[in-house]
Amino acid sequence: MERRIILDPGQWIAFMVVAVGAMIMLGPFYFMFVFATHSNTDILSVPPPVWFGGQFVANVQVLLEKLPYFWNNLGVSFYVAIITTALNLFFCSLAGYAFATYEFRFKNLLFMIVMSTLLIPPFLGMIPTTLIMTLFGWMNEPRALYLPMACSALGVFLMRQYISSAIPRELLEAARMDGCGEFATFRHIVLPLTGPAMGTLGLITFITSWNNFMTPLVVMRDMEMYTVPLALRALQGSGQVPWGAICAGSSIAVAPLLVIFILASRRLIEGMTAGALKG
Amino acid sequence: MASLQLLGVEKSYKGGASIIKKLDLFVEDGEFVVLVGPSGCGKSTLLRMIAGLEEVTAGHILIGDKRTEGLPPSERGVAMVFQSYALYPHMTVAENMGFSLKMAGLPKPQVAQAVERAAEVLQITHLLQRKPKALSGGQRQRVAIGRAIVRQPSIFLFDEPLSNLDAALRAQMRLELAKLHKQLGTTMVYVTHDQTEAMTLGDRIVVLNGGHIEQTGRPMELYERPGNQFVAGFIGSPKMNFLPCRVQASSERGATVQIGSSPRPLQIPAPSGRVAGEPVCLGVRPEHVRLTTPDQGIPARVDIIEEMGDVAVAYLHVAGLERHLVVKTPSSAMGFYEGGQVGVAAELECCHLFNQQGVNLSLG
Ligand SMILES: Nc1ncnc2c1ncn2[C@@H]1O[C@H](COP(=O)(O)OP(=O)(O)OP(=O)(O)O)[C@@H](O)[C@H]1O
Ligand SMILES: [Mg+2]
Repeated sequence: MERRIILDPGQWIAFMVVAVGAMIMLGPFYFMFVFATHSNTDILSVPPPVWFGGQFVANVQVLLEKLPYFWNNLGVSFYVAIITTALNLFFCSLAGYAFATYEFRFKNLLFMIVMSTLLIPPFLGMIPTTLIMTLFGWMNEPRALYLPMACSALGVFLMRQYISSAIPRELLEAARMDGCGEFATFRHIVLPLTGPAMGTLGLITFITSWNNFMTPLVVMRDMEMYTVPLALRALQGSGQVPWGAICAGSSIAVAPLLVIFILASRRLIEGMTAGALKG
Repeated sequence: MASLQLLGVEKSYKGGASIIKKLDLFVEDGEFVVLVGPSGCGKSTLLRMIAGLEEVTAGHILIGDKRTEGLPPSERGVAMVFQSYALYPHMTVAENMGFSLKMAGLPKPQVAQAVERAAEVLQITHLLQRKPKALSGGQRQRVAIGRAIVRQPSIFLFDEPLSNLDAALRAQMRLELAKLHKQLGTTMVYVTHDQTEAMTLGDRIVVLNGGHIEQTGRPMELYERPGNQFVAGFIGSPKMNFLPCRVQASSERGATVQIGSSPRPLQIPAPSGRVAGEPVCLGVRPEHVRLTTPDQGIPARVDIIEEMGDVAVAYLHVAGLERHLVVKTPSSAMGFYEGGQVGVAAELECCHLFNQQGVNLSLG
């Protein structure tokens, strides 16, 4: 059955506002891809190009010339993001499970302390991080990036909310009656049922780690060990800024995220709301 | 199979009032005991303590001859069927039922065999490969029971297992549970709100109130000879009528009481020794009240009639009484209508007199 949607004036206005908002949000993104395919002179001409050109390969060549370790940087980014994600899923789900189902002393106080770390601006941690990593001798090593990020307050919160709303107490008790110890209950019952929340948390963590600029900036010294955002920033250093190359690099950096997001966006949204709906 | 003993069991939560107070109970091997009581009286708590899901504050629980202190739930030889079924949503029916055996480390073929056997008993063999969300309420209930059977426990614990089912299914499952008990002969402890379940399933009923036992006994014993007003009011449906009144005279043959402002006093069989003027409460079940013509018995006005098909329940107004007098009679015997005048007579040997403390005086 075909049905025409008729918008009243109010809806039209709302529609336009959303459309303009989307354009503003997506504009820079679009131009990043467009500029990745144009030479620097094209980009800086007036008016700038609005459609794709044919200079992508040339731009990548410039990029690799200026950043000989670019593929290395991409590897470091991947390595750190994957390990951070794995650690986060493990620790946040365990901590969230404990906060959701156990009764222990100072539980609420501890949870408040965990949550209050969300209020601390990340750059406050820059100097302590540097000092600690120097002390441990971890400067310039990937573990200096993934260990401090191994368990996030947001992740603990997300998992706690999800577990307490999606997993009824009787289910855990049934598992205990069936002979599960604490960890077996977690492994056989809780983990399989927290899939949507784990997907969401994994995605958020991966993206956050991938985009992280601040921490690599303070702990990574050698170009070789830079993560992608850091490496791209290094292009802007001296002389004429190679915009085409930067955009090409950024496009490459963003591609994995785009792929993951397209594959998982439905799941991501489900994970955000499922806990609330199941009640 | 095993007996179950509760010795001076108490339960209180931190900073809260005590939920279970010094409770003693002996359940024989193979017995079917039903726990009833008002909401919040601690039935689930008691069951969960037996299961080992809840700590015992004081006292002992013995399963067979074994003390259970510190024994984890899975090592007590008990299986529990939860009200919400608590099936694992991510596992198939077969996996649900076999989970405990798998956790106990049994080899796969043996698990499969045990599941198969339990599924046959419950006639759910065709459902084994489904997930719980693809099952109806009644089927889920069967799977939950199946999960308990597979473990071959020595005691089954049921916490209102049928309360989520519709009336027809409930009746059917009730029958099957009775059959199952006959077949397995296992000790069962069963919590319910439902009068019918309590009366039909139980070898013995335990009436709980506010964390202590009011009375235990065979269903008919509790029905016919309730020890106190609470039990009398709790067992039976519709509820027993309680009519406040005063003793006019007491003799060998019983106590004479006046109902409302009725001119015709009733003589209730009760041990002598009642004092004239003593305030008492007359208890009479709706099914033990007969309706006659206004010139016989106590005059009353019919306010509301609920027609049930086989029986009718009438709510009568008796002069001098605050509450309605409820009467249950066969529909065929209906010679009355709403707003009409009738006479009320009671089967006196089925009436009870309770004193101010609620103790049943008629038992002697
Ligand atoms: N964790 C707890 N902390 C404090 N009080 C609790 C806790 N769990 C239960 N209670 C209290 O214990 C009492 C008994 O609860 P229980 O669940 O055993 O009642 P019940 O007889 O099963 O009631 P229902 O028929 O409604 O299921 C209730 O008053 C309840 O408020
Ligand atoms: Mg209960």
